[in-house]
Amino acid sequence: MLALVAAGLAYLAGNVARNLEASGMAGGFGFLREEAGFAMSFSLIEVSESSTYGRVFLAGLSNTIFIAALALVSATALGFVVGFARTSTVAPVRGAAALFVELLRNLPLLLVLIFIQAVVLRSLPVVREAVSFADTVYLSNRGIYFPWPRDDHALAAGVAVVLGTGFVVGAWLLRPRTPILSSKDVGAALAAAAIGSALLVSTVAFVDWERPALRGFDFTGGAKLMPELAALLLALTLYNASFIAELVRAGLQSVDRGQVEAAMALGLRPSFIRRRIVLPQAMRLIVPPLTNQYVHLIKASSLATVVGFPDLVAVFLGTALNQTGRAVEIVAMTAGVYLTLCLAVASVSAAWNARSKLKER
Amino acid sequence: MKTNVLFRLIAGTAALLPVAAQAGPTLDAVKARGVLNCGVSTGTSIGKSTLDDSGNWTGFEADFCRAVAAAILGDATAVEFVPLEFKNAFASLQSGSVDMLARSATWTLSRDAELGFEWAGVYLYDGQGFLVSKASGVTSAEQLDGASICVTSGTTTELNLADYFRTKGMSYTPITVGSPDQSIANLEAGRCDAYTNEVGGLASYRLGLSDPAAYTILPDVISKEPLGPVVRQDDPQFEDVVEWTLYALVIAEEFGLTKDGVAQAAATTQRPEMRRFLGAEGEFGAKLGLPNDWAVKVIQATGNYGELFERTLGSQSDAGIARGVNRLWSEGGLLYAPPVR
Repeated sequence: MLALVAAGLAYLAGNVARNLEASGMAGGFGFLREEAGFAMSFSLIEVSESSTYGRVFLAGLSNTIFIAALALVSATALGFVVGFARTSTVAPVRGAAALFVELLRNLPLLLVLIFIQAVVLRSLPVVREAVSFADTVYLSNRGIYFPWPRDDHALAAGVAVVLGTGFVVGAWLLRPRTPILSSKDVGAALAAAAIGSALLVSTVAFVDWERPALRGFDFTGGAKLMPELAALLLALTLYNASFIAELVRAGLQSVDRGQVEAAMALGLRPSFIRRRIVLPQAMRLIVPPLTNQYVHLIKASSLATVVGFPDLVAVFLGTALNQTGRAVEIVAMTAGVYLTLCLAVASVSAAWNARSKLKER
Repeated sequence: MKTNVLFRLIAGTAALLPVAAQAGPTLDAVKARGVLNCGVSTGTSIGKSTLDDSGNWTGFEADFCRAVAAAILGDATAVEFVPLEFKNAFASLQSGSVDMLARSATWTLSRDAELGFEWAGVYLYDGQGFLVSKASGVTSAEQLDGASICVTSGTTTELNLADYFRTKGMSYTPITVGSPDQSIANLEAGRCDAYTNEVGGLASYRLGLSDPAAYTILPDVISKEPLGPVVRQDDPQFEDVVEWTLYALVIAEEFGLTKDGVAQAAATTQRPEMRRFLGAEGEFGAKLGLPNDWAVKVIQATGNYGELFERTLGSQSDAGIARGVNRLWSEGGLLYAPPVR
């Protein structure tokens, strides 16, 4: 069987090579070392006009992972909030959540994206008339500008913020949960909270923040969230959250009401019942379809090319393909990336599923 | 389960292959089909290829497609216009879904050498410039340091832009989108400070703005953009036909043959070179695999180069572009055609 598949693949590969040769097209991956000669409006890694196509690939890849990861986290968070709201006992909350879900779930993602870009972001003021918030944060149709640590302070600031957040989260996890307190527990939690807040406060106070200022055509200094990224992030978040909310609702409602009533009879608080009794059981039903939604989200992030966010599809499958004409190589590499990302998400979910399934003996 | 997925993948890929593998003489295919499949812009390129009120394709490049169809099939209407975004245009030509492109494709060394294409001449000598709003106060490209520049993805303009700013030691932010209308919308919204494209294109895209008078094209031209019809290199005969269609337009202007006057000239002329060109003498059409009166059909379809240019891009059009170097060599331009002999 495997041999048959391998033979089939070899035949196809040979066919492609012959066809390319017959049509006079050059082949191979050598172009990855050639200079690309175009710039990108946004990149997490250093990339310039003199970078190679290989580097452009990496820059596009990191942008794709960046946008997909951000959207994944925010869509999940919003989806769970809306999902819980759908099962709320308060009617207006339920109604608002239902409206959100039914509106976004039944519109094409592309339409949501174009609406956000063309109507919401375009209606922001032009850069010279940017809205200012205390002369620190500026909002215009070229993006949101906010202060950022100066280059030589950025690393220290980053480390301080990560450590500080770590300590604060640690303090939250160490918080005393039983009515019986030992002074040791309280002490550890308080100490962690103190160190964490000290780190965060000193970051704000001692780091040299660069404020954005309007010079010439645009704001310089500080950091900027470009509107293309914001539009894509917003669209992916809202659209996917509407589906995730339904998965969450289905999961929550699948847990037998008797369990909730029993817990209430024991005098447990509603938030405790939701977190520790309903949600763990609901998760078993939520996660498998949630994986599907994640896979969809990762692939849909390629709509970046519509709004002009330089993700992998836009810079590599778009610009690089047109400049080099290496269709077979570039399409194969791009497909490989999405395949790998989606399979990675699916395998994480499968592992979680295996761990959390009911242990029946 | 896994093998099942693999099998489907293979089946899917295999189905795609014969299309990519399609080869063989394009000229014969066009004749057999009775229609020329011509790749043009998505209708946004005013003056080059755009749709008029009644849904007809008009413009310089659309008419060039008609001229080729007239040469091969004797019928200027036997064209299937295939609107393509630039980033898909080359792949569509490679895969055989169009016979040729008349889609403002710049002739460059690497495209010529690596894509498996031939440029069958140059029908417009253009250069890259910048369109800015008059309100910005920018009068020269050298003032664009730090600007956001709108540009169409996958074009040579994207590369020239990077070269220009690198040479000048200036910084810029490219706002790269797939189609010129998106760039124009971005420029109008103030998302970018300038839109860069070929000057000829800018002149026509400017007309698509809600207030064209508020925008101006900077005098700086930062590149050479020779635009021409593109064909696959697997059929040299078809390339010759496209090439000589272009030459026919130039020769017609040289001879003073017009759309309305060519039929009479073909019947009455005594000049041997004109008789050869118009098929009254010799078998020059047959050498190209065409009917002998191919040149007459071409000129009847679109007029000579001058008529075609002035009607679509020049003084008689909205774009109002000056002919510049797109004039006969004898008038100080770059248009030159080999003799019909």
